[in-house]
Amino acid sequence: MQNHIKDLMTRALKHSTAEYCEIRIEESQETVIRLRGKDIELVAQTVSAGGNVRALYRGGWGFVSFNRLDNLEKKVEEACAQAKILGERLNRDIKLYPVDPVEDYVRGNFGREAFAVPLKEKMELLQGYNKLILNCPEITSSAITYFDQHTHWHFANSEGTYIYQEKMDLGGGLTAIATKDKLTTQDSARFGSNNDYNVALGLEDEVREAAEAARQMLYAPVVEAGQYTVILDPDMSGLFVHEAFGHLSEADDLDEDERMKELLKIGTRYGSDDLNIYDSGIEGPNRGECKYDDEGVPMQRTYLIKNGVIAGHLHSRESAARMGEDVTGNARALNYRFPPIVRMRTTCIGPGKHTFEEMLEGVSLGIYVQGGYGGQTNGEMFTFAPSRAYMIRNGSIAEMVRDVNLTGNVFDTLRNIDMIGNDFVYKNSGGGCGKGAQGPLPVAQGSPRIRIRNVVVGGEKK
Amino acid sequence: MKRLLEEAVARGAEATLVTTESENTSVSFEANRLKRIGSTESLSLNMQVIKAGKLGVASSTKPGTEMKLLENALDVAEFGSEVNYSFPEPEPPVDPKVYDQAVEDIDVDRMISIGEELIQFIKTFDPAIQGSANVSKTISRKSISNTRGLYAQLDKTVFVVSAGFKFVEGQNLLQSWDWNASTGLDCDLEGMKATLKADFEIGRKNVEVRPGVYDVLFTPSGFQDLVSPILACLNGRAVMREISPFKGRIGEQIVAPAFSLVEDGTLDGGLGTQLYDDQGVVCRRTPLIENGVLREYLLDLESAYRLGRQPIGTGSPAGASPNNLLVVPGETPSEELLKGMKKGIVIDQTMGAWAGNPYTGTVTGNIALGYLVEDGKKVGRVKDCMFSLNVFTHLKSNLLALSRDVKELGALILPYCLIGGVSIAGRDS
Repeated sequence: MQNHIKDLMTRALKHSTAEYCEIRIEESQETVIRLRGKDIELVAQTVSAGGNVRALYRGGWGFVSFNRLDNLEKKVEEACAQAKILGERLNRDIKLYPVDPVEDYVRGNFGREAFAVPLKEKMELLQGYNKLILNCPEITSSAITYFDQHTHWHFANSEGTYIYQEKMDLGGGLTAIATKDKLTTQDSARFGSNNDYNVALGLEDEVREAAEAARQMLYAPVVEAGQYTVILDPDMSGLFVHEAFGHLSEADDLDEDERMKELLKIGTRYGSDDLNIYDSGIEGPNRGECKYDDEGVPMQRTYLIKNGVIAGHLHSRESAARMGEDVTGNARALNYRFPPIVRMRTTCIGPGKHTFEEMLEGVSLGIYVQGGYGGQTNGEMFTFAPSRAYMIRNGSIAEMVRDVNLTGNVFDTLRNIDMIGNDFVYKNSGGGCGKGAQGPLPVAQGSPRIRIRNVVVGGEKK
Repeated sequence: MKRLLEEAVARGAEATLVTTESENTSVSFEANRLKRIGSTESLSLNMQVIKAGKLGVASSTKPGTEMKLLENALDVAEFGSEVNYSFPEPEPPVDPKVYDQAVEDIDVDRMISIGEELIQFIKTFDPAIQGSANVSKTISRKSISNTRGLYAQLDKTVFVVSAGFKFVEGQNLLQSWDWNASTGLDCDLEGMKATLKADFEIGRKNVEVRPGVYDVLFTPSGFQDLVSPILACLNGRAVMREISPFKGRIGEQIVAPAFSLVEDGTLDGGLGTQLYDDQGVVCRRTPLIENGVLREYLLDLESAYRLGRQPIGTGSPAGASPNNLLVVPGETPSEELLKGMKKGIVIDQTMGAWAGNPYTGTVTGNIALGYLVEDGKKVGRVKDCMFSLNVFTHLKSNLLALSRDVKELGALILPYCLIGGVSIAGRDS
C-alpha cells in the first residue's frame, strides 16, 4: 500500500513546475463516544481520507487540498499554477532551510492499539466510569468523552523525500456535574496518549477526586478579584508556559516583523537563572510527538529559554531560513485540509529545586490553582483558567473558590516566577491547541509546580 | 443514494444521509504581502441509522464508500444511544436566498485586488505596521435524504473578507481585525477600514484603569461572550439533563424585557440558513427569548421528545445547535450609547472568556482590545485587566441598552450591548 502511494506521489511530483513542491496524503479512522448522564449521546465512526499539494515559486505558495486522490498530477499542476500567479507578482527569493532527502517508513511503536480494542470493551470501560461518577454524592449528571484515531500519513517532496508514518492519538475527559439550587459545577479527570490505549484504564481514583471537587465547588464562593501570588500545579504550569511563552516563540509570527524579532532576540533575559523552557517532539510518548513534522523534518528538543535567557525559536523550513536559525521540526498541520504552520509539540518548564512546602511558606494571601482547564493568548497577554482553585492563607491551603480565570502580560510574567518546583511531570489530556483555523491540534506539556507573583485574577470585587 | 437507503430498510433500519460537497478558494496576505492562494475541494458523507431503537452514526470523506458507511453506522448502532424518535416525514421548506452567482463568478485576480486594497490602506497607518488579510469564496451543495421519502438539496455561496494588523511599539503589541461574511459579494470594505483605523489611532495610547465596577459597552464581537452561556443553557440536552438553570422556566421572565433572542434557519442571506436540520426537521424561525421571557429551547429530536416539545429544526445526531441567531436590536445608535457614557469601558475583543462554566453564568475574561471612555469619548486602550459579570443577573438587572445597529458575525447577528455594574480587575498599582 505504501509503495503504491509512494509511486503515485512520485509520478505526480514530476509534473511540478515550481521551485519546490510537496504532497501529503492521509487516511485515518476515528471512533468517538460521548455519554451524558445516564444516556449514550453519540457513538460514531469516521473515515477521513484526502491529501494536499503545496508548491512554492518566487515567494508565493499555492495550496490545493482534496478528497479524491485520482488525477494527482492535475492537483500538482494546479498548486504550481497558483504559486506562479503569486510568484510572478512577488518575485521574491525565498529559500527553504535545506533538509537532506530521506526515504523512511515509520511504523507505530504502540503499546495497546486503541483501534484494535473492540468497541464493546471501550463502551464497558466508559460506562463503568460513568456509573462511578453518577453514584458519587450530590452528582447529578456526567459528561464522558472519548476519541481515538489511527492515521496513515504519507509525505513526498520534489527534493526526493518520501516518508510514511503511522500515528495514533487518543484522549478523553471524565466529567462529574453537580447541581444544587440552579448552580451547576463540574470537574474532570482527563487522559491522552499517542501510543497506548491503557492510559484510559485505572482512572477510578481521579474520577472520584473530580466528583468530590465538583461537589465541594457547589459550596465554594466566587473568587474575589485582585492581584495575587499564585502557585500552579504541574498541569496548570504546563498550560501557562504554552500560552505565556510557547506561542510567542513560534517564528512564523516573528520572521517578517523586525520589532518582534528584536523583542525576542536570542540572548534577551526574560526570567531568573533557574528558568528553562523547551519544546520537544522527542520526549515521548506524548500527544503530538512523532519522528517527522508535516514538512518531513525530524522533530527534536529546542530550548526557548535557557537559564532565563532566550535561546531559540520554533521553526518551519521557511522561517528558519528567513531568520538564519536551525530548523526545529515544528511545522505541523491539523490534517490534509491545511498547510503546515509553526506549532508546539510538548512544551516544558525544566525542573527547579523547590518543594511545595517552600512555595507555600511566606504566602500570606494567595491562590493555589490545579488542572489546566484552558487558556488563550494574543501574543501580548494571555489567560489561563484552572479546573480547581483554593485560597492560600498564611502559608496553608485554605478554602476552595470557584470561577477563577487568571491573566498576565507575556513580557513581564516570566520575570515574576520566583520559585520552580522539583516535581516535574508530563501531562497529556484529551484537549488540544488552536491557532488560526487549525485546532484542536494534539500537544502535551511538562512542568513542575511554579510560583508567580502579582497575577491578576478576574472575578467579583467586594 | 436511493439504493443505500433501500439497503438500510432491507437491513431493518431507518436512515438519514447528509452529504456536503464544497469548493473553496482563498487568497492570503501576511506581513503586508500576498502569501498564498489555496483551493479546497471537500466531501463529507454523514449517515445516521436507527435500528432496534438505537442510533448509529458514521461519517466519511472518502468518495465511493457509501456502503461501508452504512455498515459502520449499523455496527455502532448496536452500542448507540436509545432513541425515542423516528426520522421525520418530509415537510415543505421555505426557499431561502443563499446562493449568489456573483460569488461563484468572482476570479482570483479580483480577490487579490480586494486584499491588496485593504493591505495598502493598513500600510498607511505606520511604516512598521504588519497587515494581514484573507479573501475567500465557498460554493457548497448540501443534500439530505431519509427513508421516509425526504430528499432536498441546497446550494449556498459564502464570501468572506477579513483584515487586521499587528503593531509593536516597545513592549506594546496592538492588534485588531475585522471581517465580513456574506452569501453575496456585498462586503463593507469601507466599514472595515474605518474600524481598523480607529483601533490603531486610539489603541496606541495606553491608559490606566482603576479596578472597580464600570458601565461597559460590549461591541457585537465582545457581546458574543455573553451570548455563549445563554446558548449553552438553552440547549435542550442541558435542559433534559437538568443541568441548565433554564429548566422548567418556559414562560418565565429570565432576563430584562429589552432582550429578545431569535433562532432563524430560514433567513435570506444567513450563513447558517438551511432547508432541514441534520435530522431532517424543516427549518423555521423561532423566538427563544421574547421580551425577556423564555419561550423555547434549542432542540434536537431526542430533547424535544423528552421535554414534550416540538422540534424546531436545530437538531443533529450529537444534539442541538442554532442555525442563525439574532439578538433583536434596540432603538439607539451605538454611537449615541457611547456618547452617553460618563465613564466606562468599551470591550471589543476578549480572551479566555469561554473558559468558564456556562451553567453558572459567570463570564470572566481578559480585555484583549478595549478602551476607557470618559465623557462619551474613547480616551485610550485599557490592558492587562479582566472583566467579570454574571450573564443571568446582569442581563436581568443591569442591561442598560441594546443598539439599533447590528453586526453580522457569521451566523450570529448582534447589536452593541451596554451593561452596568461590570467588575474590572487589574494591577493594583
